[in-house]
Amino acid sequence: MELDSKFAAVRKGLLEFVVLELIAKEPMYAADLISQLASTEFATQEGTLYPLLSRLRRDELVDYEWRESASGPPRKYYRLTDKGHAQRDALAGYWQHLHTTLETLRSRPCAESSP
Amino acid sequence: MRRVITVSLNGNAFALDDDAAELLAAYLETAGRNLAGNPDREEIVSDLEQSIGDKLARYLSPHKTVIAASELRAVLDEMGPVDGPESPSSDDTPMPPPRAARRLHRLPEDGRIAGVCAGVAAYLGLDPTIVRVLFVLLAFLTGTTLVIYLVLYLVLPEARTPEDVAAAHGEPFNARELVARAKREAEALSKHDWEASRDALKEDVRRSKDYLTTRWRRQRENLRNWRRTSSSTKTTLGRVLTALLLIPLMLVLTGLTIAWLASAFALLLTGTIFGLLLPTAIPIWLALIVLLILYFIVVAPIKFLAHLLSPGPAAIDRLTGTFDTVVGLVFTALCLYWLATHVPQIQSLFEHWSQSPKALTTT
Repeated sequence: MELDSKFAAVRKGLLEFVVLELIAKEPMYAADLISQLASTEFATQEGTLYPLLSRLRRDELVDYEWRESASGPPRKYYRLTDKGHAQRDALAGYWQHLHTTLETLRSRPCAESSP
Repeated sequence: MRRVITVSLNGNAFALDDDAAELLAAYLETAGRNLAGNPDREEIVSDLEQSIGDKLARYLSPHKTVIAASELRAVLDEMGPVDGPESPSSDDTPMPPPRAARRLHRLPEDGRIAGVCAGVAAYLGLDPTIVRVLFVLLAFLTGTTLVIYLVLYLVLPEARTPEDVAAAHGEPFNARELVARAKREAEALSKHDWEASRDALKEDVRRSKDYLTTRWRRQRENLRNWRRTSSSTKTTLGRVLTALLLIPLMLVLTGLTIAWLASAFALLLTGTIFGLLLPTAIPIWLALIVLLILYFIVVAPIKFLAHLLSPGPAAIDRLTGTFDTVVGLVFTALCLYWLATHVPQIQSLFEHWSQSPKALTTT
């Protein structure tokens, strides 16, 4: 529970990365994203996701196209732009870098860190 | 019978009942406000509307065509609050949580007399009855409580507008919710039986007056009876015995009073009581009041005994009365000190006084 609240800001910051990762696999519409994330730590709601998607589109990282659906109205399917793919790779690289840094800090012997 | 309002969500018509329509309007208004300045605001809002519409469709069938407020609330909970301006992208300081600040107000509408207790209760998030009982109890113990009440009555701003009332309770305020609440209130008001409530108030006042006068009378009678019984024990042996008992009694009383004063000061200044740190769940003002009540509970039998034993009850009463007055005055002073350091309104009032004494005298 405590971890949950401690990492709230981290999860919020990572949501953009997670969304880019999901859309990178295949084009998706918003409700699809929400249901895929629902069971994970990144569970989110329309109120958060829509403004985020709109910002990603303004930053030209994602784009959408209208697709008819079998049931109901046409849906916006989001996909990554070239810039979005580049951003995703950069984020993945940075995440890896963060992870490596953390590991190095943890495994560094005590004698070295103390002056 | 309920009125039905038809709304268009991204181009689709939905029938909502009155309350549901108010809720939806409030949600979309907040969303629009949070998205102010966002170039895609219109698009996001219509996406949100579409999504709300999709979710509402679950509750509709050929035999159920109107959305109720509870159903709409469930859908809005699912949607979640719409994120405001994104602070991570700009390097601004994080926005404070959108919690309405609580303000101390008088709530004459909810009050029995002037709404002081109701206002204090709303501020502390307590039931008004608890605060009222505490006030009355303290008023019986020391008359200075009435002075505190009077000061609060004069100092606290009256909650005139619904915004004030919401602020008194610390509720977030929203124009739409206000309209909805006002409508409900107005409806209740028009149905309200004014004659009956006036009669009830009169009855309340009359009954409490009766209670106080009978209590006062009984008190005096008791006093007279005790004097009669105590004067009948005026034998030489009795006098020696009473003197022997009276002296330690008065010493104990003095000791208790000094102990009370010391612990009350320690409580206020260091937050400790009898050397123990006060649990954070108990606020200092409450501990102070409990301490006062404890003092009077402990002291009452001693005073009573002294009164019974004394050959001159009036003198003893005057003496113990002085103790009470000292304790009462110190209690008032401590309360005022606490109020001045902890209640923003009074704090700002003091600052106002110290900063612009001229401005105050001219008004």
